[in-house]
Amino acid sequence: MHEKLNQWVARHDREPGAAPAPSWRDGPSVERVRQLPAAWADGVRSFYDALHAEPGCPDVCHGTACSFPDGHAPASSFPAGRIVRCLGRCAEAPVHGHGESRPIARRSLLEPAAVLRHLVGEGPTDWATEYALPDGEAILGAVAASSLRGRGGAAFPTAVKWRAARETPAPDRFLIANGDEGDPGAYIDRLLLEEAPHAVLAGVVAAARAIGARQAVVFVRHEYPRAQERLRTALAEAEANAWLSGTSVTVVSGGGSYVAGEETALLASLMGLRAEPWPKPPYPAQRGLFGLPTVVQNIETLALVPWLVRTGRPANMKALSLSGAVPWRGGLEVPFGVTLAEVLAAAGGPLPGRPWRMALVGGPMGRLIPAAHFAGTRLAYDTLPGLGHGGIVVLDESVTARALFEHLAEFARSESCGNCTPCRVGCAQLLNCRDTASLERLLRTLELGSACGFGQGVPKPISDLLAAFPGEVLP
Amino acid sequence: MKAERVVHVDGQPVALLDSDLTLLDAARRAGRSVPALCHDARVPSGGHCRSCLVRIGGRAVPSCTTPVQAGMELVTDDEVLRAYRHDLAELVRSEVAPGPTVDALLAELGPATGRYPALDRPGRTDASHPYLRLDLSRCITCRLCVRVCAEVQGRFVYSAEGRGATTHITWGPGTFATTACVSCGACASLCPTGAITDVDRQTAPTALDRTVRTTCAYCGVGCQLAVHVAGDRVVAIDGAASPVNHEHLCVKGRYAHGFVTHPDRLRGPLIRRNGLLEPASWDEALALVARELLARGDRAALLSSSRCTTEENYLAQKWFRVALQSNNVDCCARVCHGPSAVGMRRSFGTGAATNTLADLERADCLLVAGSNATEAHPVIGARLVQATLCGAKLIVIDPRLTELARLADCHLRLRPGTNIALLNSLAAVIVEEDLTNAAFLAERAEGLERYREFIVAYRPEQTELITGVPAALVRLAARLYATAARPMQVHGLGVTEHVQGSEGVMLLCNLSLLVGALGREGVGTNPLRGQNNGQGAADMGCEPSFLPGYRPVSDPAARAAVAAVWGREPPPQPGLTLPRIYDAIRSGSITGLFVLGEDVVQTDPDARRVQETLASLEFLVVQELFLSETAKLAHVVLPGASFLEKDGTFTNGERRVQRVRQAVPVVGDARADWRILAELLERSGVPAPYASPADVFDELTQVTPMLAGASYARLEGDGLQWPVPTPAHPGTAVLHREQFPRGRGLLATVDYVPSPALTEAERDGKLLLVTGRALEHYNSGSMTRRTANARLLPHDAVALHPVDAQERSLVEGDAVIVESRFGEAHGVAHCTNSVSPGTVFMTFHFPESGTNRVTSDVVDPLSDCPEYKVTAVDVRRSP
Repeated sequence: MHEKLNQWVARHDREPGAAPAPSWRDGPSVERVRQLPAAWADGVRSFYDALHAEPGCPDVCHGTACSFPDGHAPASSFPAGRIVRCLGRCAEAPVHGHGESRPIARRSLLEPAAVLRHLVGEGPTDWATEYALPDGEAILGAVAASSLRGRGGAAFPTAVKWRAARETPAPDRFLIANGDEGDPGAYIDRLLLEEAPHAVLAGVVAAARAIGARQAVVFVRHEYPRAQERLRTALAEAEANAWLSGTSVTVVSGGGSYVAGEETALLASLMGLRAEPWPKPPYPAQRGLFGLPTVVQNIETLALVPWLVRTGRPANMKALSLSGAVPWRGGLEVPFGVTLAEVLAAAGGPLPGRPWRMALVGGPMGRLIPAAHFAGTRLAYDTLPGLGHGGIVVLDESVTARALFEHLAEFARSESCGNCTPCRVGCAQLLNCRDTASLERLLRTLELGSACGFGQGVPKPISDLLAAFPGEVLP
Repeated sequence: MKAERVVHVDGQPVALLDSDLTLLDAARRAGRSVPALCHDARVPSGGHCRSCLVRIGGRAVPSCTTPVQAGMELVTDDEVLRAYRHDLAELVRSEVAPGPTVDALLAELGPATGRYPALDRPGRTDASHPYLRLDLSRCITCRLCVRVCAEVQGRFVYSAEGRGATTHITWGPGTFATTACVSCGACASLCPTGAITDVDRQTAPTALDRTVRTTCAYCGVGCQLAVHVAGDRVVAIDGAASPVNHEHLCVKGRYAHGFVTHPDRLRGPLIRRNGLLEPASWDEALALVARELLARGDRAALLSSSRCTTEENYLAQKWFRVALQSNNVDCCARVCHGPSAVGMRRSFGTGAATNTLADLERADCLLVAGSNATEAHPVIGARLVQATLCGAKLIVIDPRLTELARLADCHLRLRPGTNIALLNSLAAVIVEEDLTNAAFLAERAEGLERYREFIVAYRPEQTELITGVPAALVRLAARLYATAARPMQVHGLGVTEHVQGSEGVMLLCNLSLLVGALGREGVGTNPLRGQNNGQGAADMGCEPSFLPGYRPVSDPAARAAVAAVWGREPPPQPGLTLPRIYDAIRSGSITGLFVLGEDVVQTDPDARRVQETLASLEFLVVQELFLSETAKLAHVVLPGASFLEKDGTFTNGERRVQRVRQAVPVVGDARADWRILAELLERSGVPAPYASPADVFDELTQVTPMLAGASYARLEGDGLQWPVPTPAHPGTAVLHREQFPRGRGLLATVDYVPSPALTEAERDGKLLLVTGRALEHYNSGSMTRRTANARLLPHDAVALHPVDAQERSLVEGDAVIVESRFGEAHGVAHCTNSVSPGTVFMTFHFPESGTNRVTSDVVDPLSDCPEYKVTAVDVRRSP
């Protein structure tokens, strides 16, 4: 249906004899909305925060770190303004607006550093080196050997996906870098895009070559204007230096919607339509953008690729984004298997006089770990499937299980794309459940029936809350 | 032999068919009743409602979108799934207003317990449209409406709006009547909850007496209808599953049925006495008709009807040829696709579509010439739109910016009346750029050498000044067409209704020959028949020179063959075509005329003259549904039956013979037309012992070789495409696979000759008038005007370019007069750039407009088809 609508739009209002405009992949925009049939225009405009912004109205971040500043129960309510669910400035919470932000602290517990190599002074001094990579088959082989899994949250084996795209017969393929880092509490992609855009672009070129794509798009969320700007600058530099070795790369801005980070929803968003997931299978690697094999890959994953190819080392590390009730907040690279307690110790332990109660790991579809389990929680995709994109928001004793539940339910209710029934209605009914058994039944429905990782993931931290703090969420 | 592919559904083995694409298909074939609220086979599955979840291994997956693979073990029902479906139903109940339809729908999933409080949801309602009714408080956001509007009709009227819990369906900011909706009603037919419904469904009793499958009479597409009947009343119509329309319909087929019981229907015979039409008995009327016409013999003429059944057309011409010994038999195909029949017969040997509708989806390049299919043949139009949106190239030849033209890869917006120059220029490019199919031409075409020399003169750079189409665009179109693997043509009356109409069709045939696009699937030259049974009427010999099956009346063997069945030979000399019949009436050599179901005073060109001509007849009989403009002149009016009130067959534009089945009794004392005609045969001394149209059909197959193998029993289901020479023959989807009936295909060399209308317009600075149909009405409008379609389009509009309007100080909505040498017409100005400067477009659906008083009596000399498509006119404000 998306492609038919694209054709319909592209074919209307052309100069006589002009070929239909190329199929759209510029993301949601006012211009795009203007071209759509009336109902679809309303549908798209109403879907994206950026397209129905009231002029002059400040963005107020309602992300997890901003809802619980310093990981503490808030002293006052939010200021008035347009609600956004995370601006990626969790380290300096609470924030509103896109104004000047503080630099993000960064540190790697690895020797040598991998994904944060450039940010801790270990990357190559010459960017050309970063882009100089072997042929596609060799890249694919190195990625397979490294056991790299997608860092966006799903942890799918990267080489398997790439090979599927490479081996699906098609006249063309697409590589899409997913910079729609929406998880409240996660900002590592923002850090990479802003401060190591060449590492990201080198990964994009490598991945495109590995799957046989001539065209690549870096989709960056609307809430990251600085990341978009720095990426565009780097892209111009790379083009000027012919570092892209023939790959055509464009930067597209998102429109402000959490679910746009889901890979098929992202493709719909790229087409400037509502970011609603498509039924899978077929998977995008077989049939994606405009029906062509398409790999959607997270930014952190891509930024790691040049390093993996060059060093031949295993991909057994993860970059975390720390915020909340710890003194050191920033991007922290850790080896797989480190415990949550060790990570938080590295971040300086609890704030004075504010003992920890729990931590939300991997965002609102991740896991809720009570403080008692910090020492026993090992961070790796095998041991903690909810690790997700690696955002960690630490909360102290002042934050009740009920307060976090309400925060998570409100996020779910407003960010569900509304496409499938269990998620659209179920997320709206979370706060209406009157007892634990009813809530648990609804969580089962959400997990079993929802069409994508959003509705399937919403129950995870809430179930953890129910288990960790019985009677606190609901009688 | 192909190994059997098996899945297990709840432990039971099921052998998969090729048509089993999803888990839901497999589960349902295993007899499991998996709920699927948002699923309908007519549209791609969206996986929105999640009620169709099943388990494979440990995973729960939506069965409607998950492809089935051999070896899968499905669980469609267990405690977890049951609890899940019940909770899902409870969630749905919390976002939708209770009501019988939605309650029944959800009861399947589990009982209502009030588990979740009602959510505050937008409940927009709308009743601005004459047919459709919307109440979103009943909506479960399953998006069947969004999908069917996009994926079947291609209008994109609906979308989801909002995000999260408030996501709901929208049709945009205004009332529903202001949307791009074309009233096909597909959304109402798919909506599972009644959130979108229509006035028919709202007023239909819950208990139907029967549903009758029949064939729509509103154009030559031949859509299959499921007519829902309560008592003696048609209460609603849905599309039936068929290769023709795949359950889809248009605003006419679905909604315009109210005319059947309209108070204006003729309910008994009328005879003119003392200048006035007065009620009479059937006995008196039939006796009078039989006596008067029999007495006139070949001084009488028959105008048969493309709107009547094949059986009725057969009986009518048989009556004239046998009883009256008159070959003065013609029908309204003369004034529409006569040139297609003549042209294609000259080029190939058969005057009918070479291919089949299913090929619309097989073609990779569609050349639409002179057809506004989305309005005149809406279901084919929708299929053309979909094919284009799916990637087929689209070339449109049309002076107007039609919906298809807006979607086209190449719109050749020619000056009206210059088809010959344009079609030749396309061919010239194909020849010049060596894009021909040399092997095909060598084997199956004749006249190539002469043609090569001839066509050089029509290079697009030479024709540009004539046609107004830039040469580069013509070259682009020619390349698209000639380099496609399966280029397919469809054409309409924009090709035929010209002074060189038949030759225009031959030039389309040239193009098919040049690129070898004949005799296989997905290609060909295909006229879109304008009326529902134009094909059948022509097949039955409702033409002055042909007997049934296109056997020449001048052929002694053909006459002998029909005499063996009819008991008497028809006269050997061909009769008169319709325009010549008018001439003969004026000269006094024809004094009696029988008009079957046509309103020629409204629809034939130079209508004022037609009216005067008919008024001069000694004896005029009109068999009609309503007292039409023509019937008002009659001496006897016989009340016939509509297609919903009788049995028979129609043959659509792809040569598919399909059953027409009586849904409701005939109104009043009116009679099925075949009964009237059989009675007239009897009263004229020709035995007509037909108990039903099936008996007529059995007889006509004996004299029509291409239908020799057909029977009503064999027409059950999807009908048969002729030729069907033997009872075992499966019918023929694609003609000319091995060779053409005339041997080789003819590459015709046709020079462009400007129409007198073009010369006149150029000389006198006049505008060029093009006439045609609008979506909402059917021809004379006698049926559609007597339904709520008249609210959708209440008048004939005169579309003119804003520049021309400004020059004449006209604004939108002005009452205007359109004037030509022949007469005046009245309409309402519509300023639009869908017509080019210098051209005017007008429909002819309303008798008060008198559109055809303006059109000329100029005809195509090969077919005698009038030139409806170009007339030199002036337009001015009505005083």
